[in-house]
Amino acid sequence: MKEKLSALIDGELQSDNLHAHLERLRADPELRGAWDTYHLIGDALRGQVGPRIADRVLDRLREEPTVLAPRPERSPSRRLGWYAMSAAASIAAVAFVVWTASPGWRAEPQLAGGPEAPATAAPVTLVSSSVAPAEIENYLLAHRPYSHTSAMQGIAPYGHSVAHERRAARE
Amino acid sequence: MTLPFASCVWRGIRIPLFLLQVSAAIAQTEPTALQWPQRIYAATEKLSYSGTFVYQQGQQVETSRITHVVEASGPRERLETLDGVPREIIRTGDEVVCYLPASLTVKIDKQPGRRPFPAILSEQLKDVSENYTIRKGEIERVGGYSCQVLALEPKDRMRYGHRLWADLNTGMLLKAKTFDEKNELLEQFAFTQIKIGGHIGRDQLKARYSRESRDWRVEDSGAKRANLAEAGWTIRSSPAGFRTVAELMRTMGGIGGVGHIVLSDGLAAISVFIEPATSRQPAPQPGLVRQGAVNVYMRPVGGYWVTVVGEAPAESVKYIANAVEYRK
Repeated sequence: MKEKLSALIDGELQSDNLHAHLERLRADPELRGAWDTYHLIGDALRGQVGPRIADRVLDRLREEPTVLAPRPERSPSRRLGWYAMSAAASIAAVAFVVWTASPGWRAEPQLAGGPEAPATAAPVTLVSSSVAPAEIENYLLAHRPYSHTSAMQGIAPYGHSVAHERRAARE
Repeated sequence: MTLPFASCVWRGIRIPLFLLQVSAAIAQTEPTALQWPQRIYAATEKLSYSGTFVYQQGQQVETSRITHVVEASGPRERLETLDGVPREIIRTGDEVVCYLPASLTVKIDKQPGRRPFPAILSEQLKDVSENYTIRKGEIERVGGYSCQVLALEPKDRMRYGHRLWADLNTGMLLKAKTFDEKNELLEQFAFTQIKIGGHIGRDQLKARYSRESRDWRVEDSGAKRANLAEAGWTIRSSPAGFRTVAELMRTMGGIGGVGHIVLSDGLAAISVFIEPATSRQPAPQPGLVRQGAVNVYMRPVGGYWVTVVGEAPAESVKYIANAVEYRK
Protein backbone atom coordinates (compact mmCIF):
# COMPACT_ATOMS: atom_id res chain seq x y z
CA MET A 1 0.00 0.00 0.00
CA LYS A 2 2.82 2.40 0.87
CA GLU A 3 4.55 2.03 -2.47
CA LYS A 4 1.17 2.83 -4.03
CA LEU A 5 1.17 5.90 -1.82
CA SER A 6 4.44 7.12 -3.24
CA ALA A 7 3.11 6.41 -6.75
CA LEU A 8 0.10 8.50 -5.77
CA ILE A 9 2.29 11.37 -4.59
CA ASP A 10 4.26 11.16 -7.82
CA GLY A 11 1.01 11.26 -9.82
CA GLU A 12 1.63 7.86 -11.36
CA LEU A 13 -1.68 6.17 -10.52
CA GLN A 14 -4.42 5.44 -13.05
CA SER A 15 -7.71 7.20 -12.46
CA ASP A 16 -9.59 4.07 -11.26
CA ASN A 17 -6.87 3.25 -8.74
CA LEU A 18 -6.54 6.87 -7.84
CA HIS A 19 -10.06 7.07 -6.48
CA ALA A 20 -9.66 3.88 -4.48
CA HIS A 21 -6.42 5.02 -2.94
CA LEU A 22 -7.70 8.47 -2.09
CA GLU A 23 -10.69 6.79 -0.43
CA ARG A 24 -8.36 4.50 1.47
CA LEU A 25 -6.20 7.45 2.45
CA ARG A 26 -9.23 9.27 3.78
CA ALA A 27 -10.30 6.28 5.87
CA ASP A 28 -6.95 5.21 7.26
CA PRO A 29 -5.21 7.52 9.78
CA GLU A 30 -2.04 5.47 9.67
CA LEU A 31 -1.82 5.88 5.92
CA ARG A 32 -2.48 9.59 6.27
CA GLY A 33 0.41 9.72 8.68
CA ALA A 34 2.60 8.03 6.06
CA TRP A 35 1.32 10.49 3.46
CA ASP A 36 2.33 13.38 5.72
CA THR A 37 5.73 11.82 6.34
CA TYR A 38 6.42 11.32 2.63
CA HIS A 39 5.49 14.90 1.94
CA LEU A 40 7.54 16.02 4.87
CA ILE A 41 10.55 14.15 3.44
CA GLY A 42 9.91 15.83 0.11
CA ASP A 43 9.53 19.23 1.72
CA ALA A 44 12.62 18.72 3.85
CA LEU A 45 14.63 17.79 0.75
CA ARG A 46 13.40 20.98 -0.85
CA GLY A 47 14.19 22.91 2.32
CA GLN A 48 10.54 23.71 3.11
CA VAL A 49 9.78 21.97 6.40
CA GLY A 50 6.26 22.16 7.85
CA PRO A 51 5.50 19.48 10.45
CA ARG A 52 2.05 18.02 11.11
CA ILE A 53 0.31 20.01 8.41
CA ALA A 54 -2.83 17.85 8.51
CA ASP A 55 -3.25 18.20 12.27
CA ARG A 56 -2.75 21.93 12.16
CA VAL A 57 -5.35 22.33 9.41
CA LEU A 58 -7.74 20.12 11.40
CA ASP A 59 -7.22 22.28 14.50
CA ARG A 60 -8.05 25.35 12.47
CA LEU A 61 -11.16 23.64 11.06
CA ARG A 62 -12.34 22.71 14.55
CA GLU A 63 -12.30 26.40 15.45
CA GLU A 64 -14.55 27.24 12.48
CA PRO A 65 -18.27 27.57 13.26
CA THR A 66 -20.44 24.63 12.08
CA VAL A 67 -22.82 25.63 9.30
CA LEU A 68 -26.07 23.65 9.24
CA ALA A 69 -27.06 23.96 5.61
CA PRO A 70 -28.07 21.55 2.86
CA ARG A 71 -25.19 19.94 1.10
CA PRO A 72 -24.23 22.13 -1.86
CA GLU A 73 -25.36 20.88 -5.25
CA ARG A 74 -22.59 19.63 -7.44
CA SER A 75 -21.48 22.35 -9.75
CA PRO A 76 -23.38 21.77 -13.00
CA SER A 77 -20.68 23.47 -15.04
CA ARG A 78 -18.01 21.09 -13.76
CA ARG A 79 -20.05 17.98 -14.47
CA LEU A 80 -21.17 19.26 -17.80
CA GLY A 81 -17.54 19.87 -18.65
CA TRP A 82 -16.72 16.29 -17.81
CA TYR A 83 -19.48 14.90 -19.96
CA ALA A 84 -18.70 17.30 -22.76
CA MET A 85 -15.19 15.87 -22.83
CA SER A 86 -16.18 12.24 -22.63
CA ALA A 87 -18.98 12.57 -25.14
CA ALA A 88 -17.70 15.24 -27.46
CA ALA A 89 -19.38 13.67 -30.45
CA SER A 90 -22.75 13.32 -28.78
CA ILE A 91 -25.54 15.32 -30.26
CA ALA A 92 -27.79 14.60 -27.29
CA ALA A 93 -26.26 17.32 -25.11
CA VAL A 94 -29.68 18.15 -23.67
CA ALA A 95 -30.10 14.61 -22.43
CA PHE A 96 -26.78 14.88 -20.62
CA VAL A 97 -27.82 18.09 -18.88
CA VAL A 98 -30.91 16.33 -17.54
CA TRP A 99 -28.90 13.26 -16.60
CA THR A 100 -26.31 15.25 -14.64
CA ALA A 101 -29.00 16.81 -12.43
CA SER A 102 -28.89 13.56 -10.47
CA PRO A 103 -26.52 11.08 -12.05
CA GLY A 104 -28.36 7.86 -12.77
CA TRP A 105 -31.01 8.69 -10.24
CA ARG A 106 -33.71 10.71 -11.85
CA ALA A 107 -35.31 13.09 -9.40
CA GLU A 108 -39.06 13.13 -9.70
CA PRO A 109 -40.42 16.39 -11.11
CA GLN A 110 -42.63 17.84 -8.41
CA LEU A 111 -45.28 20.49 -8.69
CA ALA A 112 -44.15 23.67 -7.00
CA GLY A 113 -47.45 24.06 -5.17
CA GLY A 114 -47.38 20.59 -3.63
CA PRO A 115 -49.55 17.63 -4.59
CA GLU A 116 -52.79 19.59 -4.21
CA ALA A 117 -51.90 22.16 -6.87
CA PRO A 118 -53.70 21.69 -10.19
CA ALA A 119 -51.44 19.89 -12.64
CA THR A 120 -51.77 22.51 -15.34
CA ALA A 121 -51.12 25.63 -13.26
CA ALA A 122 -47.83 25.19 -11.47
CA PRO A 123 -44.50 25.19 -13.27
CA VAL A 124 -42.62 21.93 -12.96
CA THR A 125 -39.39 22.11 -11.01
CA LEU A 126 -36.84 19.37 -10.76
CA VAL A 127 -36.30 18.47 -7.12
CA SER A 128 -32.93 16.87 -6.96
CA SER A 129 -32.35 14.74 -3.91
CA SER A 130 -29.12 15.24 -2.06
CA VAL A 131 -28.73 11.51 -1.47
CA ALA A 132 -25.43 10.47 -2.98
CA PRO A 133 -25.52 7.41 -5.25
CA ALA A 134 -23.14 5.63 -2.87
CA GLU A 135 -25.67 6.07 -0.05
CA ILE A 136 -28.53 4.77 -2.18
CA GLU A 137 -26.25 1.84 -2.89
CA ASN A 138 -26.27 0.99 0.84
CA TYR A 139 -30.06 0.95 0.91
CA LEU A 140 -30.21 -1.14 -2.26
CA LEU A 141 -27.76 -3.73 -0.98
CA ALA A 142 -29.77 -4.07 2.22
CA HIS A 143 -33.06 -4.24 0.33
CA ARG A 144 -32.31 -6.54 -2.60
CA PRO A 145 -32.23 -9.88 -0.78
CA TYR A 146 -35.84 -9.41 0.35
CA SER A 147 -37.17 -8.82 -3.12
CA HIS A 148 -38.84 -11.99 -4.34
CA THR A 149 -38.08 -11.09 -7.88
CA SER A 150 -34.52 -11.41 -6.54
CA ALA A 151 -35.40 -14.76 -5.03
CA MET A 152 -36.32 -15.98 -8.47
CA GLN A 153 -33.17 -14.62 -10.01
CA GLY A 154 -30.77 -15.90 -7.34
CA ILE A 155 -28.28 -13.18 -6.50
CA ALA A 156 -28.41 -11.85 -10.03
CA PRO A 157 -30.13 -8.60 -9.01
CA TYR A 158 -27.02 -7.58 -7.09
CA GLY A 159 -25.45 -7.01 -10.44
CA HIS A 160 -28.02 -4.34 -11.15
CA SER A 161 -26.60 -1.67 -8.93
CA VAL A 162 -23.12 -1.88 -10.31
CA ALA A 163 -23.62 1.12 -12.52
CA HIS A 164 -24.37 3.24 -9.47
CA GLU A 165 -21.11 2.21 -7.92
CA ARG A 166 -19.35 3.23 -11.10
CA ARG A 167 -20.92 6.67 -10.97
CA ALA A 168 -20.19 7.00 -7.30
CA ALA A 169 -16.58 6.16 -8.01
CA ARG A 170 -16.30 9.01 -10.45
CA GLU A 171 -17.37 11.60 -7.98
CA MET B 1 -54.74 -51.06 -54.70
CA THR B 2 -57.11 -51.75 -51.87
CA LEU B 3 -54.42 -52.78 -49.48
CA PRO B 4 -52.36 -49.57 -49.59
CA PHE B 5 -55.57 -47.59 -49.42
CA ALA B 6 -56.69 -49.51 -46.35
CA SER B 7 -53.30 -49.07 -44.73
CA CYS B 8 -53.53 -45.34 -45.41
CA VAL B 9 -56.87 -45.23 -43.69
CA TRP B 10 -55.51 -47.29 -40.85
CA ARG B 11 -52.50 -45.02 -40.50
CA GLY B 12 -54.81 -42.05 -40.78
CA ILE B 13 -56.58 -43.27 -37.70
CA ARG B 14 -53.45 -44.30 -35.87
CA ILE B 15 -51.68 -40.96 -36.23
CA PRO B 16 -54.35 -38.79 -34.60
CA LEU B 17 -54.68 -41.40 -31.85
CA PHE B 18 -50.95 -41.28 -31.25
CA LEU B 19 -51.05 -37.47 -31.11
CA LEU B 20 -53.96 -37.60 -28.67
CA GLN B 21 -51.97 -39.87 -26.38
CA VAL B 22 -48.99 -37.50 -26.47
CA SER B 23 -51.09 -34.43 -25.72
CA ALA B 24 -52.78 -36.28 -22.85
CA ALA B 25 -49.33 -37.06 -21.45
CA ILE B 26 -48.34 -33.39 -21.76
CA ALA B 27 -51.55 -32.27 -20.09
CA GLN B 28 -50.70 -34.45 -17.11
CA THR B 29 -47.17 -33.17 -16.65
CA GLU B 30 -47.26 -29.66 -18.05
CA PRO B 31 -47.51 -27.11 -15.24
CA THR B 32 -50.39 -24.66 -15.19
CA ALA B 33 -49.77 -20.91 -15.24
CA LEU B 34 -50.12 -20.84 -11.45
CA GLN B 35 -47.59 -23.64 -10.99
CA TRP B 36 -44.89 -21.87 -12.99
CA PRO B 37 -43.76 -19.34 -10.35
CA GLN B 38 -43.28 -22.25 -7.95
CA ARG B 39 -41.24 -24.14 -10.55
CA ILE B 40 -39.07 -21.05 -11.04
CA TYR B 41 -38.39 -20.59 -7.30
CA ALA B 42 -37.58 -24.28 -6.95
CA ALA B 43 -35.25 -24.25 -9.96
CA THR B 44 -33.17 -21.20 -8.90
CA GLU B 45 -32.76 -22.69 -5.43
CA LYS B 46 -32.22 -26.39 -6.15
CA LEU B 47 -30.35 -26.42 -9.45
CA SER B 48 -26.66 -25.93 -9.98
CA TYR B 49 -25.92 -23.58 -12.85
CA SER B 50 -23.26 -21.35 -14.26
CA GLY B 51 -23.71 -18.66 -16.87
CA THR B 52 -23.43 -15.11 -18.12
CA PHE B 53 -26.29 -12.65 -18.05
CA VAL B 54 -26.93 -9.16 -19.30
CA TYR B 55 -28.87 -6.55 -17.35
CA GLN B 56 -30.27 -3.58 -19.22
CA GLN B 57 -31.98 -0.48 -17.93
CA GLY B 58 -32.45 2.46 -20.27
CA GLN B 59 -29.22 2.88 -22.20
CA GLN B 60 -27.17 1.15 -19.58
CA VAL B 61 -26.08 -2.45 -20.07
CA GLU B 62 -24.06 -4.56 -17.63
CA THR B 63 -22.76 -8.10 -18.06
CA SER B 64 -22.18 -10.44 -15.11
CA ARG B 65 -21.21 -14.03 -14.54
CA ILE B 66 -23.05 -16.16 -11.98
CA THR B 67 -22.30 -19.60 -10.54
CA HIS B 68 -24.76 -21.38 -8.25
CA VAL B 69 -23.83 -24.72 -6.75
CA VAL B 70 -26.08 -26.77 -4.47
CA GLU B 71 -24.08 -28.61 -1.83
CA ALA B 72 -25.20 -30.81 1.07
CA SER B 73 -24.89 -27.78 3.38
CA GLY B 74 -27.02 -25.63 1.09
CA PRO B 75 -26.58 -23.46 -1.98
CA ARG B 76 -23.49 -21.35 -2.60
CA GLU B 77 -23.41 -18.57 -5.15
CA ARG B 78 -20.83 -16.32 -6.72
CA LEU B 79 -21.52 -13.35 -8.92
CA GLU B 80 -18.91 -11.29 -10.68
CA THR B 81 -19.39 -8.26 -12.90
CA LEU B 82 -17.60 -8.48 -16.22
CA ASP B 83 -17.62 -4.87 -17.36
CA GLY B 84 -17.20 -1.57 -15.62
CA VAL B 85 -16.09 -1.38 -12.01
CA PRO B 86 -15.15 -4.86 -10.78
CA ARG B 87 -17.34 -6.29 -8.05
CA GLU B 88 -17.86 -9.71 -6.59
CA ILE B 89 -20.64 -11.14 -4.45
CA ILE B 90 -20.53 -14.46 -2.61
CA ARG B 91 -23.61 -15.90 -0.95
CA THR B 92 -23.41 -18.81 1.46
CA GLY B 93 -26.69 -19.70 3.11
CA ASP B 94 -28.13 -16.49 4.48
CA GLU B 95 -24.83 -14.59 4.39
CA VAL B 96 -23.90 -12.26 1.53
CA VAL B 97 -20.38 -10.87 1.15
CA CYS B 98 -19.73 -8.07 -1.36
CA TYR B 99 -16.20 -7.28 -2.44
CA LEU B 100 -15.91 -3.73 -3.79
CA PRO B 101 -12.32 -3.32 -4.97
CA ALA B 102 -12.97 0.22 -6.28
CA SER B 103 -13.49 1.47 -2.73
CA LEU B 104 -11.41 -1.26 -1.02
CA THR B 105 -14.47 -2.30 0.97
CA VAL B 106 -16.01 -5.63 1.97
CA LYS B 107 -19.70 -5.49 2.89
CA ILE B 108 -21.15 -8.36 4.88
CA ASP B 109 -24.89 -8.79 5.23
CA LYS B 110 -26.99 -11.48 6.87
CA GLN B 111 -30.61 -12.05 6.00
CA PRO B 112 -32.24 -13.25 9.19
CA GLY B 113 -35.70 -12.58 7.73
CA ARG B 114 -35.06 -14.83 4.77
CA ARG B 115 -36.68 -18.15 5.49
CA PRO B 116 -35.22 -21.23 3.83
CA PHE B 117 -36.86 -22.63 0.75
CA PRO B 118 -39.58 -23.94 0.52
CA ALA B 119 -41.04 -22.42 3.72
CA ILE B 120 -41.67 -19.14 1.95
CA LEU B 121 -43.51 -20.72 -0.90
CA SER B 122 -47.11 -21.40 -0.02
CA GLU B 123 -48.11 -18.03 1.43
CA GLN B 124 -45.93 -16.17 -1.03
CA LEU B 125 -47.54 -17.89 -4.02
CA LYS B 126 -50.96 -17.14 -2.59
CA ASP B 127 -50.00 -13.46 -2.43
CA VAL B 128 -48.70 -13.58 -6.01
CA SER B 129 -51.93 -15.05 -7.33
CA GLU B 130 -53.99 -12.50 -5.39
CA ASN B 131 -52.07 -9.50 -6.69
CA TYR B 132 -51.22 -10.58 -10.24
CA THR B 133 -52.98 -12.31 -13.10
CA ILE B 134 -50.65 -15.04 -14.35
CA ARG B 135 -50.98 -16.16 -17.95
CA LYS B 136 -48.98 -18.54 -20.05
CA GLY B 137 -47.68 -17.21 -23.34
CA GLU B 138 -45.71 -18.62 -26.26
CA ILE B 139 -42.68 -20.88 -26.22
CA GLU B 140 -39.57 -18.83 -27.06
CA ARG B 141 -35.84 -19.54 -27.13
CA VAL B 142 -33.40 -17.88 -24.71
CA GLY B 143 -29.71 -18.78 -24.43
CA GLY B 144 -30.33 -21.89 -26.53
CA TYR B 145 -33.15 -23.18 -24.30
CA SER B 146 -36.86 -23.44 -25.16
CA CYS B 147 -38.69 -21.30 -22.65
CA GLN B 148 -42.26 -20.89 -21.45
CA VAL B 149 -43.23 -17.22 -21.52
CA LEU B 150 -45.27 -16.10 -18.49
CA ALA B 151 -47.06 -12.78 -18.11
CA LEU B 152 -47.66 -11.49 -14.58
CA GLU B 153 -50.09 -8.63 -14.91
CA PRO B 154 -50.68 -6.43 -11.87
CA LYS B 155 -54.30 -6.26 -10.68
CA ASP B 156 -53.88 -2.58 -9.71
CA ARG B 157 -51.48 0.35 -10.19
CA MET B 158 -49.56 -0.27 -6.98
CA ARG B 159 -47.15 -2.76 -8.54
CA TYR B 160 -45.30 -3.39 -11.80
CA GLY B 161 -45.95 -6.03 -14.43
CA HIS B 162 -43.49 -8.76 -15.33
CA ARG B 163 -42.79 -11.04 -18.25
CA LEU B 164 -40.76 -14.15 -17.48
CA TRP B 165 -39.02 -16.71 -19.66
CA ALA B 166 -38.44 -20.04 -17.89
CA ASP B 167 -36.71 -23.13 -19.28
CA LEU B 168 -39.38 -25.70 -20.23
CA ASN B 169 -37.40 -28.64 -18.85
CA THR B 170 -35.97 -27.31 -15.59
CA GLY B 171 -38.02 -24.18 -14.78
CA MET B 172 -34.83 -22.08 -14.57
CA LEU B 173 -35.57 -18.37 -15.12
CA LEU B 174 -33.54 -17.26 -18.12
CA LYS B 175 -35.01 -13.88 -18.92
CA ALA B 176 -37.23 -11.32 -17.17
CA LYS B 177 -38.69 -7.95 -18.11
CA THR B 178 -40.35 -5.41 -15.81
CA PHE B 179 -42.96 -2.97 -17.11
CA ASP B 180 -44.41 0.21 -15.61
CA GLU B 181 -48.06 1.33 -15.36
CA LYS B 182 -47.95 2.46 -19.02
CA ASN B 183 -46.61 -0.93 -20.03
CA GLU B 184 -43.23 0.59 -20.88
CA LEU B 185 -40.10 -1.48 -20.28
CA LEU B 186 -38.27 -0.45 -17.08
CA GLU B 187 -35.52 -3.05 -16.99
CA GLN B 188 -34.67 -6.53 -18.14
CA PHE B 189 -32.19 -9.26 -17.56
CA ALA B 190 -31.38 -12.24 -19.76
CA PHE B 191 -28.86 -15.06 -19.78
CA THR B 192 -26.76 -15.03 -22.93
CA GLN B 193 -25.13 -18.34 -22.00
CA ILE B 194 -25.93 -20.81 -19.23
CA LYS B 195 -25.09 -24.36 -18.26
CA ILE B 196 -27.81 -25.93 -16.14
CA GLY B 197 -26.93 -28.98 -14.03
CA GLY B 198 -23.94 -31.25 -14.60
CA HIS B 199 -20.59 -30.76 -12.93
CA ILE B 200 -19.63 -27.23 -11.92
CA GLY B 201 -16.17 -27.00 -10.40
CA ARG B 202 -15.91 -25.64 -6.86
CA ASP B 203 -13.08 -23.39 -8.03
CA GLN B 204 -15.70 -21.31 -9.82
CA LEU B 205 -17.10 -20.36 -6.41
CA LYS B 206 -13.80 -19.12 -5.03
CA ALA B 207 -13.74 -15.42 -4.16
CA ARG B 208 -11.25 -13.64 -6.39
CA TYR B 209 -10.60 -10.96 -3.77
CA SER B 210 -10.53 -13.12 -0.61
CA ARG B 211 -6.75 -12.77 -0.15
CA GLU B 212 -6.36 -9.23 -1.47
CA SER B 213 -9.22 -7.91 0.67
CA ARG B 214 -7.60 -8.78 4.00
CA ASP B 215 -6.69 -5.17 4.72
CA TRP B 216 -9.81 -3.62 3.17
CA ARG B 217 -12.42 -1.82 5.21
CA VAL B 218 -15.12 -4.24 6.43
CA GLU B 219 -18.70 -3.07 6.87
CA ASP B 220 -20.80 -5.67 8.65
CA SER B 221 -24.52 -4.96 8.68
CA GLY B 222 -24.94 -7.00 11.89
CA ALA B 223 -28.59 -7.41 10.86
CA LYS B 224 -30.78 -8.92 13.59
CA ARG B 225 -34.48 -9.56 13.90
CA ALA B 226 -36.17 -6.79 15.87
CA ASN B 227 -39.58 -5.64 17.01
CA LEU B 228 -39.89 -2.11 15.69
CA ALA B 229 -43.56 -1.85 16.66
CA GLU B 230 -42.42 -2.24 20.27
CA ALA B 231 -39.95 0.56 19.71
CA GLY B 232 -42.86 2.78 18.61
CA TRP B 233 -42.70 2.47 14.81
CA THR B 234 -45.77 1.50 12.84
CA ILE B 235 -46.93 1.63 9.24
CA ARG B 236 -50.46 3.01 9.56
CA SER B 237 -51.65 1.36 6.35
CA SER B 238 -49.97 -0.13 3.32
CA PRO B 239 -51.09 -0.43 -0.32
CA ALA B 240 -53.48 -3.34 -0.95
CA GLY B 241 -51.67 -6.66 -1.11
CA PHE B 242 -48.49 -5.54 0.70
CA ARG B 243 -47.77 -6.92 4.15
CA THR B 244 -44.82 -6.88 6.54
CA VAL B 245 -42.55 -9.90 6.08
CA ALA B 246 -39.45 -8.91 8.12
CA GLU B 247 -38.38 -6.46 10.84
CA LEU B 248 -34.69 -5.93 11.54
CA MET B 249 -32.07 -3.67 13.07
CA ARG B 250 -28.86 -3.14 11.11
CA THR B 251 -25.78 -1.02 10.61
CA MET B 252 -25.67 0.85 7.33
CA GLY B 253 -22.82 2.94 5.95
CA GLY B 254 -21.21 2.89 9.40
CA ILE B 255 -24.40 4.06 11.15
CA GLY B 256 -25.79 1.67 13.74
CA GLY B 257 -29.36 1.25 14.96
CA VAL B 258 -31.07 1.58 11.61
CA GLY B 259 -34.55 0.03 11.64
CA HIS B 260 -35.51 -1.99 8.55
CA ILE B 261 -39.07 -3.14 7.78
CA VAL B 262 -39.73 -5.23 4.66
CA LEU B 263 -43.14 -5.39 2.98
CA SER B 264 -44.01 -7.73 0.11
CA ASP B 265 -46.88 -8.51 -2.23
CA GLY B 266 -45.45 -11.97 -2.92
CA LEU B 267 -43.26 -10.73 -5.76
CA ALA B 268 -42.20 -7.11 -5.29
CA ALA B 269 -40.64 -5.98 -2.01
CA ILE B 270 -40.50 -2.54 -0.42
CA SER B 271 -38.01 -1.73 2.36
CA VAL B 272 -38.52 0.99 4.98
CA PHE B 273 -35.31 2.26 6.65
CA ILE B 274 -35.53 4.36 9.80
CA GLU B 275 -32.43 6.13 11.10
CA PRO B 276 -31.78 8.89 13.62
CA ALA B 277 -31.59 12.31 11.93
CA THR B 278 -28.39 13.02 13.87
CA SER B 279 -26.63 10.42 11.75
CA ARG B 280 -27.42 12.43 8.65
CA GLN B 281 -25.66 15.78 8.83
CA PRO B 282 -26.19 17.84 6.82
CA ALA B 283 -29.80 16.79 6.45
CA PRO B 284 -30.74 15.30 3.06
CA GLN B 285 -33.44 16.90 0.97
CA PRO B 286 -36.75 15.03 1.13
CA GLY B 287 -38.02 13.69 -2.17
CA LEU B 288 -38.18 10.91 -4.69
CA VAL B 289 -35.46 9.47 -6.89
CA ARG B 290 -35.88 6.71 -9.41
CA GLN B 291 -33.67 4.35 -11.36
CA GLY B 292 -35.13 1.67 -13.56
CA ALA B 293 -37.74 -0.19 -11.53
CA VAL B 294 -36.49 1.10 -8.17
CA ASN B 295 -38.01 4.14 -6.47
CA VAL B 296 -36.49 5.74 -3.38
CA TYR B 297 -38.43 8.23 -1.26
CA MET B 298 -37.06 10.07 1.80
CA ARG B 299 -38.91 12.08 4.39
CA PRO B 300 -38.21 13.25 7.94
CA VAL B 301 -40.42 11.85 10.72
CA GLY B 302 -39.80 13.49 14.08
CA GLY B 303 -36.10 13.25 14.79
CA TYR B 304 -35.66 10.48 12.21
CA TRP B 305 -35.19 10.00 8.48
CA VAL B 306 -37.46 7.50 6.80
CA THR B 307 -36.16 6.10 3.49
CA VAL B 308 -38.41 3.81 1.47
CA VAL B 309 -36.84 1.71 -1.29
CA GLY B 310 -38.68 -0.67 -3.58
CA GLU B 311 -39.09 -2.03 -7.08
CA ALA B 312 -42.61 -0.64 -7.13
CA PRO B 313 -44.30 2.44 -8.64
CA ALA B 314 -43.58 5.80 -7.01
CA GLU B 315 -47.17 5.83 -5.78
CA SER B 316 -46.67 2.72 -3.62
CA VAL B 317 -43.29 3.83 -2.27
CA LYS B 318 -44.64 7.29 -1.32
CA TYR B 319 -47.81 5.79 0.17
CA ILE B 320 -45.77 3.64 2.54
CA ALA B 321 -43.34 6.47 3.40
CA ASN B 322 -46.25 8.74 4.32
CA ALA B 323 -47.84 6.01 6.46
CA VAL B 324 -44.79 5.57 8.71
CA GLU B 325 -45.56 6.82 12.22
CA TYR B 326 -43.74 7.09 15.49
CA ARG B 327 -45.81 6.75 18.66
CA LYS B 328 -44.28 6.46 22.07
